[in-house]
Amino acid sequence: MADAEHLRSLLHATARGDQRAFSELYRATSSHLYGLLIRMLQRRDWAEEALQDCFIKIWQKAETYEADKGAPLTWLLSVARYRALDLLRVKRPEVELPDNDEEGASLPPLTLQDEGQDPLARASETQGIARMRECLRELPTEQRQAVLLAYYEGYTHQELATRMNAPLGTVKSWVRRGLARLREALDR
Amino acid sequence: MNYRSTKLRQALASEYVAGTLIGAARKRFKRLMAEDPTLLEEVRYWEERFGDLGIFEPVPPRELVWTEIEQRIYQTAGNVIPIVAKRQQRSLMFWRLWAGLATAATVVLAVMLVREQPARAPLLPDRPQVVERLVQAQAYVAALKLPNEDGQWTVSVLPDSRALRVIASEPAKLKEDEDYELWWMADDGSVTSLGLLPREGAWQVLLPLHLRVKASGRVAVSLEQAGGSQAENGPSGPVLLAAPLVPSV
Repeated sequence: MADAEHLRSLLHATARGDQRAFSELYRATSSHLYGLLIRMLQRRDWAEEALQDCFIKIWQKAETYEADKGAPLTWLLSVARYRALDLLRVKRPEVELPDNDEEGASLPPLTLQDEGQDPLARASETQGIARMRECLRELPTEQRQAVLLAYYEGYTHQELATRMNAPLGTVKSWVRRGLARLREALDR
Repeated sequence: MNYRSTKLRQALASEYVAGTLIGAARKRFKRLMAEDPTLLEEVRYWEERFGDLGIFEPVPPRELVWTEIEQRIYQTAGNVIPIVAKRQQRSLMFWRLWAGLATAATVVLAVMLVREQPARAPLLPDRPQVVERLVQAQAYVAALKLPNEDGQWTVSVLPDSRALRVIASEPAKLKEDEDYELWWMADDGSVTSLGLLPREGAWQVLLPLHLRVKASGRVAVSLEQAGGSQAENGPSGPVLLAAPLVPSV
């Protein structure tokens, strides 16, 4: 992973319209953004479209990145995540079932690929998770799953309710309480 | 809804980041966030924490994605997204006022022998035709020698890609609280801001689609407060010079 200082200077140069810096920024970070997009959107065509949109936005808005916004990669990933969420809201109608889709046969699973597996188990395959993971572990299972499914799979409340087979109100409170407890734990 | 409650603000920010705040509520939250730095801080708090999980494994995208990004940014094709901060129009009257000044100003017309270099060439090994087109493209250039400056700013425009590039030969001697603003002058007398001249080095923007690049095109430079003109429709500071864009050979 490119170091933060280097990415920061690439972002600043991009803000000045430096094409070479922009291209280098793409080389250094696109696989991170694409990894997020393909995971959330689960379709190559959507993920590629979203990646394009992200970098167009980064080219146009690089000047809005400020060093005090924290790590540049975090900022870039946020751009990608919000783009993915927007796309999901537009392209994946709430409570959509694969069977109802015209492209049903080619549609990838909308849910966790490893059904029944705690998303955290997959999270643990990667590194750099320590603190947040600890705090997530302290959450009751439903709250943890609801938060992670919302964050990493882009689920709405309604989709969570369907997915987790629970009433809408219950799911909403899982997310809300899960996030509140997470906040308390992180602040400790 | 009472957005003043700290708990509620924290909750909304966390659900915004998690993505469960949707529809009108999400839009409302974004509006509030734009006006309220503390809400923005809350959002950043969560972005950083979730970012720390590093759960998404990198996956290299296909090469064609970059090619398409480049095309969307640099090529014509009717879907170019103009990267210009401000579009400003001003009446013919205004330009009559400074026409005399502009004539008196030192204007160096550079007929550049160098053709626009295909800066992107190494990045597009699989698209030689794009590179070729860039090399062959007719460029328009203007050299701007501003009063009180040792160096000059060279403006070049590639009509084909609508890319306008500015290169400063020396660092500007401007005060910290000043900027030079570059303007596009249309035949009908209207002007459009192209952004600020770089204090040093190179800088590039895409021309807005409504601007026609041709031999009679002109650009002008005004001296402005930092950040550019305060006026709605044109320069607020003095116009230092105007220069025609000359076809390069």
